[in-house]
Amino acid sequence: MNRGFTLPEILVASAIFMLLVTGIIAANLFGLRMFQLNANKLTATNWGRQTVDSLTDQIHSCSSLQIGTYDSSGFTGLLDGETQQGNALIIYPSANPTNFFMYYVNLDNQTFLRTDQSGNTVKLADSVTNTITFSAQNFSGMVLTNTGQPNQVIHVDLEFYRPESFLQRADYFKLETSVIQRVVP
Amino acid sequence: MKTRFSNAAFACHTARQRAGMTLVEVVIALALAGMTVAGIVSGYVYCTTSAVKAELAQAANGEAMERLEQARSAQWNTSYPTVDYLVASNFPDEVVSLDLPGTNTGGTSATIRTTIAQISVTPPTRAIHVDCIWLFRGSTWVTNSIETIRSPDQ
Repeated sequence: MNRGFTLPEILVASAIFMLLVTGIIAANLFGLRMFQLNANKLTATNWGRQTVDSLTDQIHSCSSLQIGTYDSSGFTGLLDGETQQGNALIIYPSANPTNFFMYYVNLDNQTFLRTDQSGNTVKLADSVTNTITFSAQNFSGMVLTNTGQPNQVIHVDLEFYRPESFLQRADYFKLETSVIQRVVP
Repeated sequence: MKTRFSNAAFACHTARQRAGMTLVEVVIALALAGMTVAGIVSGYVYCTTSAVKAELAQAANGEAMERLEQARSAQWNTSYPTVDYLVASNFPDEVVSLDLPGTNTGGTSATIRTTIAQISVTPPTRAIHVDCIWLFRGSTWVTNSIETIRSPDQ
């Protein structure tokens, strides 16, 4: 009993120990992956809620707004007779047209940004995949063709694609909401 | 001789006892280990299921909120010329998808149901109630409800 272990005993014990350690490491990696996945989801959800709350509040309380397109030449508002959907939304909090907030998707680098009259630009998100982000609709979801319609619903639709990276698989996110002005124009 | 034989047999029996575990012991140990592992795995499954359910509930809430905003935007003028689009026939049941493209091929669909009720005529007030009804993993019905009260357009 006191002569020690034989070589086969040590080999078998080592093999069992290695299996155990492998299992523990695999469980740890799985837990880490799940944690990372949940952390990303929660971060995206939190960001989405903050951004939508801010955007919703601004639309609720604004004096007027306009949907348009944004490109290298800047913002171009849609005219009467044009389908009211585009990649940019300009919000005027008051009757003063020099004060505004603008939300837009930069199609060159697929980023979603917010800027104001002072030129303060904040990147809110990247990896945006859709080009039509904002639309003005009626109560039944039909896209309007005239600007400044009373009772218009501003529909916001943002879709994101996160590419695969270390310990993370590719994933999609979508942010969609409809908001109306509380102040009837 | 008998005594020595007896001692040898006893020594042999003791050594065998110390050499390993009996089948019953191994089976009990395996059962305990199995129950422990099953508990850990069921914990993981429960967490994942809860996360998916919460995500779908949030999507359902968003869909209900969208319908509520649409109903709030419906034109309703009680003064001349009277217009009233805030009626139930303008908001029929609608089936929407709660899943994102690529995340679930099976998909989870939800039915948006809108109820509009007159609360009072003077002052004119209506209640808008929106239910988003969906089936979680084919077994549990879940309803996200949201309600508001509105007056006619000014």
